[in-house]
Amino acid sequence: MIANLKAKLDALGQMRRQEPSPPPSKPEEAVCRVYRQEYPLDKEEGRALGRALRLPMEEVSVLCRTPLAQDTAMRDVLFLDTETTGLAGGSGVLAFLVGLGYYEDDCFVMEQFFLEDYDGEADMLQRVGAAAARHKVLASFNGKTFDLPLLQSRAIMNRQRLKVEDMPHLDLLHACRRLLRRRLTRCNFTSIEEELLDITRVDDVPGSQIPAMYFDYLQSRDMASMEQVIRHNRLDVIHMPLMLEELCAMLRDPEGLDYCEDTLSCGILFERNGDLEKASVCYTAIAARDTEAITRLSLIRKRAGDYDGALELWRQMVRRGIGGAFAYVEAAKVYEHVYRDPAKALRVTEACMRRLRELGLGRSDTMAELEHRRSRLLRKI
Amino acid sequence: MNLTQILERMRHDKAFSANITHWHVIETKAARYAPFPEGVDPRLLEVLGRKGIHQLYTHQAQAVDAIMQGKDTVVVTPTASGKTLCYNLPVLQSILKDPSSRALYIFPTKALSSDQVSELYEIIEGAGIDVKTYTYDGDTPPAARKAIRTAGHIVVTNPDMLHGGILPNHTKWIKLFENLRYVVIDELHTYRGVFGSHLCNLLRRLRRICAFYGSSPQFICCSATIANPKELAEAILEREVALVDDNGAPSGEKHFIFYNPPVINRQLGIRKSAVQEAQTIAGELIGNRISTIIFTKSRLQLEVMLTHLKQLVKTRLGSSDGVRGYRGGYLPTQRRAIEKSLRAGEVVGVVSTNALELGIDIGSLSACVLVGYPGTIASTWQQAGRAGRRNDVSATFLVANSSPLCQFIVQHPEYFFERPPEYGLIHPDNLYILLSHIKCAAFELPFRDGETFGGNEITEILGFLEEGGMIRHVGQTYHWSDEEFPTTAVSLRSASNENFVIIDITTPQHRVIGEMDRFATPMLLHEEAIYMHEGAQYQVEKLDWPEKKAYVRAVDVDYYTDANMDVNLRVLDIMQPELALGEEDAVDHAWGEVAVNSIVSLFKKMKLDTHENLGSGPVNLPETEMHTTAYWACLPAPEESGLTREQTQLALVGMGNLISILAPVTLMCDPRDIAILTQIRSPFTRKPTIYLYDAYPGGVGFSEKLYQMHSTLWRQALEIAKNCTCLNGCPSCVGPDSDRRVTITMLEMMLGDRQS
Repeated sequence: MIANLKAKLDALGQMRRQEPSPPPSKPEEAVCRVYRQEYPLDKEEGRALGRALRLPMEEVSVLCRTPLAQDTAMRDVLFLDTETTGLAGGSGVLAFLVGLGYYEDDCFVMEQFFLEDYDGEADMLQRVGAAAARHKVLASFNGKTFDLPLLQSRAIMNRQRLKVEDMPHLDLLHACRRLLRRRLTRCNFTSIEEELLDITRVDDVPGSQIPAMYFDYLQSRDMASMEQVIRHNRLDVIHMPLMLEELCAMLRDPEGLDYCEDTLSCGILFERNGDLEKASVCYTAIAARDTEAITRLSLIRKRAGDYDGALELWRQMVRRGIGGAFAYVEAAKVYEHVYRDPAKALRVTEACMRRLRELGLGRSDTMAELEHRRSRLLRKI
Repeated sequence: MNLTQILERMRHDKAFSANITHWHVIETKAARYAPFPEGVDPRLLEVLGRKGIHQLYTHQAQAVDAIMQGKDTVVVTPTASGKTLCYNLPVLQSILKDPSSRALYIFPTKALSSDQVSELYEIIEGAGIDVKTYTYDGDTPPAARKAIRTAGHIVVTNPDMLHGGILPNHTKWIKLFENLRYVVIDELHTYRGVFGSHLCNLLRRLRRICAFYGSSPQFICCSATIANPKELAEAILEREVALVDDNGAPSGEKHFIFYNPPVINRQLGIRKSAVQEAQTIAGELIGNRISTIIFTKSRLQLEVMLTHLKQLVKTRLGSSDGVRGYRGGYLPTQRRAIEKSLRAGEVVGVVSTNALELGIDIGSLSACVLVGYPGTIASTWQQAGRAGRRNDVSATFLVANSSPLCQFIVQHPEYFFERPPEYGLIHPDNLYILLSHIKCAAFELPFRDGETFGGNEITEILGFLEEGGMIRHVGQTYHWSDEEFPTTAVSLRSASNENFVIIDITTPQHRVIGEMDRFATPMLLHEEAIYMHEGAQYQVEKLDWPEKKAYVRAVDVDYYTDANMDVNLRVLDIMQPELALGEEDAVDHAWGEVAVNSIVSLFKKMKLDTHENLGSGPVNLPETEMHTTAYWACLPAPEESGLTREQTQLALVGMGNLISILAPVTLMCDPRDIAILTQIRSPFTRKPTIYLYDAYPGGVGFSEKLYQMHSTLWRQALEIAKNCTCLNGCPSCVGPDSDRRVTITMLEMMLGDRQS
């Protein structure tokens, strides 16, 4: 190698300098450290977790838009969260802490696998794989995009196979977004905890600092900061069943929710799942306050052939001056094609055009379409 | 008039032909054919047959044969000799035989890769075979990426994407890496110097990952004519390579005309402007609807030329749409549209920088005008190759400017036609480059104890990285241990990967009109600079340095701006002769490590037509620093030589000029790879000193070579100065700003031929 290499590398001036640390003490064998904690379901924190155990899986399935086998139970779900050495991804990023939570007997069991050093990774991945094999369903917060691909990538690097591809995966981030994003500006873990669980963490570590904290730990071997990270990870995992429970509760009583945005979100979720009856209940509850709800409700009625019901809603919308041209156009269509009443359709169309002109939209695309409709109706009469 | 008639007229036009220093005709060459090798899939034969290909050119057959024998192969082919078939045929054949087989195509630019895919699609669709070919680059939509990673048989990409996108995420590309059969590297000759050194390391990383997944791909390279294609391919691939270079493709009659603009001031050796003369020639060609490409040396020249030609075709052809500009700073969509209209023949003239030098298929052009010598023999042939891709008459005009190199070439045509083209040199173990890629490689796969990288023993480097906390040694393995994603800090193409975005704020709707690399920005986008884009003028209103944005507004002014860059150099360490810092007094030449600082502090406004100076203004931009390697030579100080300080200064300038003529030739590098700096009293050597430094961070080995050839180099410089026939300094020897006699005296003293 080239002479005075070190001096030259230094001259390149791109390395951050650090005092050489004392040789770190290494664990005897290349295994990960395991932390296990049990939360009895009849005591303290366990009680809330116990309520989540009784969740009907059909509700969970609807909430997460994930088909589940008939006999699936909450005891089959493995909750998972990782802490990693980087947030940008790539094969060099690994999980140094994996938290797993699951129901066992009368407890919620929390198992955490921590890497005291890199060489424990193969052991950790094997343990994660074994735990996954004992369960049927995975649950995570953003695990579909982040945690699982990362673990799978690391398994490949360790020449292992993590057999999780075929497991149904309940991603709570997606569920939260579906039900809360119309109300909340942010749908990250912390804001969901605050809104849904009414929990504000004290002395928690910000996720963005965790990789740096781990690198510091590797140099210093000071467990104090890692204990904070381990606690952070544990809270992430045990709050997942609670979130699931709260989200399902929203679906159980959508009309009774405090915010009509949430009711609307429930309705849309039901509608997408094909449960038009429940969707209609949601929309009806807030139809007087929410334009999208009344719009969606009218379309459900129209598709079901309840034209009178739909017309009633459109009349309401016109009266309240909401939804723009939509109600007029829909009504015109129904008058023209269903009731075969072009004269009435024409009156509605012209009313709509007047309205648009009042709003200063006389030159819009919608206007052009209305013009087209009007001339067709005129020919029909 | 057709091209033959125009050429005939030029030959007989006395005023014109007086300026022609050389008229070279390359005769028509007939094609040589060979049959398809045995065992080619009938579906491929059928679709090629429909395209009129019933047999192969000899070089294609040789290439296919070597590849099918499993040899790593480099094919050397001039433009338009059907090189793509050399690799497409074996690759498609292998996929048809084994559908799990995969191939990776690497092109130096995105433009080239998009071109390639469309050509491959044609064959694949025509043959009705299930071979999935995808381009994977920065423009690939995220939604499509997953499918490409798992299903793509042929993945077409560029070195940057391989470096930053594919290799660091190799676990998502298992299918590709487990089954990688062929790696195709097209335009191999572009991977010279720094870029080539990066590619070599990139391939080391690629092979390391392939080995992890149990594959060992075969490499196929294509190169334009350079002096040492086999050597370059072997340097980049680090293994033995079969060479195929006997071109069997036909070519039409080619005229190569060297044109030296007339001298208008003999004392100063000043000639008429090459841009103006080239403009006249190009105007004549385009006016006669001869499809023509004009290569300019800079963006500024391009825009000036474009404005004039548009004006000209508007009067002669009725519309200015027939002439377009084409260069790197244009946005990708804009470039695609230009390429398309070129192929469709809607455009008669294209003014380009060397962005078009590479093999983008723009159809056949009849003429090529080079404004100034492109710098190397290889790129001159490449650019000239844009004209006459088919079997008809074509012409290339090399219009010389007053640069010494250019004058040397037009006055010594034998040099150009008889010398082998440039060598492709790389220095992959350059510490800076090697270190960057070892970091990336450690991120991709942990290093095991004793593992080497490109044959280098790297324990010491890994130890250094460990000490810096970037990797961690545990269990006989070095693990990446840093939050940084190491590939983002490494740019393969220049010292800096920061591009500045140029935003037009003329209308309330701001729009991005182009981008510029970090190095050119201080010179061309400082506040108040006139920026030319597609022939339109813009003035820079604000340059947001931290945000890397330049805000420009359309203006109509009669001047352009020209900024001065001040460069300063400090010696950090002497490598040879081996001395401690402080002993440098005794040394008259050395090489070592230096820090080069540059700052733009002033710009001038120059009138467009007369180039007179209309005034100047300050530029307030941060200084940039680069660490690199330099070779330097000291001259006797005035008190020793008996020359005055002014004479010494003149001699320094003269030697600088001579060396800038010689160095690219003797080093066989691109002139832009090295830079020259002179100091009348160097703070380091305390003598008049001339520095030549590698224009790349970390250096790429040129300085060391210059040091080794020290006396040969200066003796050649002396020869040139002595043999020049000018009065007392011209661009072809010591330059118009120097003094030939003083320079000769100084060189003789330096070489010990004369006592001071």
